[in-house]
Amino acid sequence: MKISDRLMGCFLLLFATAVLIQASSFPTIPGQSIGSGLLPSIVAVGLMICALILIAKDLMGTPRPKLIEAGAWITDPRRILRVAIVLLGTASFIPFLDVIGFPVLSIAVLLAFLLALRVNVMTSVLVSVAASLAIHTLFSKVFLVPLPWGLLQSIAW
Amino acid sequence: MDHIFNALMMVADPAVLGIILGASVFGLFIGAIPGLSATMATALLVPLTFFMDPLPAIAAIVSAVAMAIFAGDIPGAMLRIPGTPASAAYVDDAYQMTSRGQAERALGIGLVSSVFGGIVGAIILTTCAPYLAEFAFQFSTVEYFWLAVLGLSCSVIISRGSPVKGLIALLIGLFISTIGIDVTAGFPRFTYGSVDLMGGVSFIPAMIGMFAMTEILRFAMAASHDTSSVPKSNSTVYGGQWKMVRENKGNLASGSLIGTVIGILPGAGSDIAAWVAYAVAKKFSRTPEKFGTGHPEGLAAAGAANNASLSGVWIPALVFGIPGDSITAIAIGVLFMKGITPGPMVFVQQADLTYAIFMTFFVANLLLLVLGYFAIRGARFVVRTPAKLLMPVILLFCMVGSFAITNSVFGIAVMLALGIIGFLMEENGFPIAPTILGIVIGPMLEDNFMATMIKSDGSIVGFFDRPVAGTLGAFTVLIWTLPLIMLLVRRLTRQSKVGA
Repeated sequence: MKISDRLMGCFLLLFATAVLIQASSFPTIPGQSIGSGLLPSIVAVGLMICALILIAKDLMGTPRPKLIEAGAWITDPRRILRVAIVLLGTASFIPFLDVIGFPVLSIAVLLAFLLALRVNVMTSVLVSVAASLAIHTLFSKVFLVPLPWGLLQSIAW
Repeated sequence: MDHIFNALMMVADPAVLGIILGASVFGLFIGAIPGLSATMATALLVPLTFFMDPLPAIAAIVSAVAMAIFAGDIPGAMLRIPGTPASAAYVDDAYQMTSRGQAERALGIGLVSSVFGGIVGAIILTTCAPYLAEFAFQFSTVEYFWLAVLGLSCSVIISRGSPVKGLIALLIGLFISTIGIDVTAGFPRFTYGSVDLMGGVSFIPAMIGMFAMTEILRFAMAASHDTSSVPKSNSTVYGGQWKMVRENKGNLASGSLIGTVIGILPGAGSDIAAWVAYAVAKKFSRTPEKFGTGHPEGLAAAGAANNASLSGVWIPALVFGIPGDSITAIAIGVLFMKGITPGPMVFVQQADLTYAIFMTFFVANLLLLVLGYFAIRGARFVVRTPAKLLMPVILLFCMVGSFAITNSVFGIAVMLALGIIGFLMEENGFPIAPTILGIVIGPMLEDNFMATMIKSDGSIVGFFDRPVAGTLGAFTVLIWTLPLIMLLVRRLTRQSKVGA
């Protein structure tokens, strides 16, 4: 996904302004004129200068590129589906990991991704179940990471 | 001498050797798969190192990276797709040899030169680092501040593409490093009441997101995921290699030295080392016209250089705590997690550990000679492992790795957010390495900056009034202003030509 430098510059300028405003409200160290806001302020000013250079260079260049170019993948439903599975599948772990549990959620996400990649159904099922259980066992039994069992709590080993 | 004996005993521990072996096999596998880099191998390994002692943790990273850098030659030679950017310089030579039925010979040259370069680099690391550490004892906060600025500046200058975009990437990393409680004043910054954010953005999920998640997203967007066929071969891995070493001893030596020196420079890594060594070998070759047509000279020089740089890059990392590339930035983060602060004091307080780390470079490179042989023999199967089976499993591994750092879904959220940011950055020409360096070095930079400011009562003079600090400061300012000076000189020269 290509975003033009002038649009990216505008976004960075807004972001840096917000950082600068917030950093200026941070307290100083007692007895000093400097405090927690110093480095964020320097970073924000640096970002502002760079953003302005980015915008100026893009506006001076010819031909001027489009504001946003999504790329070829946006016209292919299968590729959109794959990207959506990666993003939404990962994001689904944030609210649902505790409720649904790692084994069920990871098998579901893995299976969806494999099928979207046109791996045949039997291989997809085998890989998703084997990989999920292997990773779950490695992390929960060897490294003692408390991966939640969720719906399968009753059969937890 | 006691330190070296103790270090030897530490490395000889069967558990450490077992981890080195496991990490080596992992590194060979990841490096041999096109699209998966040595940095990604490190990113995937770090969640596991979280549960290890300091020596096996660092030994695992050192071994996996050395193996991955060599293994990057395998898809380069077999499919003309460099497995890692460090193999790109000589991919044409390697593939041309494969096309002539000499795949094993081409990879054998890569293997022998990698081991040669790796061992020369390890010798230089072991002998030079302690002397530099003695010198570094004279350093105070201001020298460390300038070293951090110098390292970050080099990462921007050396990054590919626009320097402005490199600087933006660095500033984004520095901003991320300021999130959380400020240790100097104890004030929470940019946390918005979130308890998770109070502890700051953990660099491991950030790094997994920026290096691995971006790769998975790119893979998901790609039109096809087919692998091409590998030409047949009738050569052997070690056949004729002794003759090759004798004929190319100059190239191997120059490649190793160039690699180590480039590795020491902050911001420059194994890919730049390989390109420079290849160019130097071509420049001094009696048959430069053969380069790019399947000629072993460039392969030997660049193959030695990329592995030698892996040792060189550890010199500034261990002596000054300044990582030279994203892999050592990750390794420094791991050391910090283990309660070890890299710098000259580790050579005194943890001398055994430091020498044991050096020894892992020798062990890893000697092991490469054995494992590399089997990797080459089995390469035809490895390079054809369907990425469409691997990538979903890697995605799952990334999520669990990010979760394991905080034992909460906050790590997954950080990985996802920085994965999207990293993807957008790379798609639009912003390099990722300066951001990671910014996240890792940011706290050290700020600590030393604030301490110097407080000591000098807010005066800028305090940053230049010690001899070493003044020199480092002047050098850094020169690096910043050099592009402007060059531009000015070029304009003046052009104007004087037009006037004449």
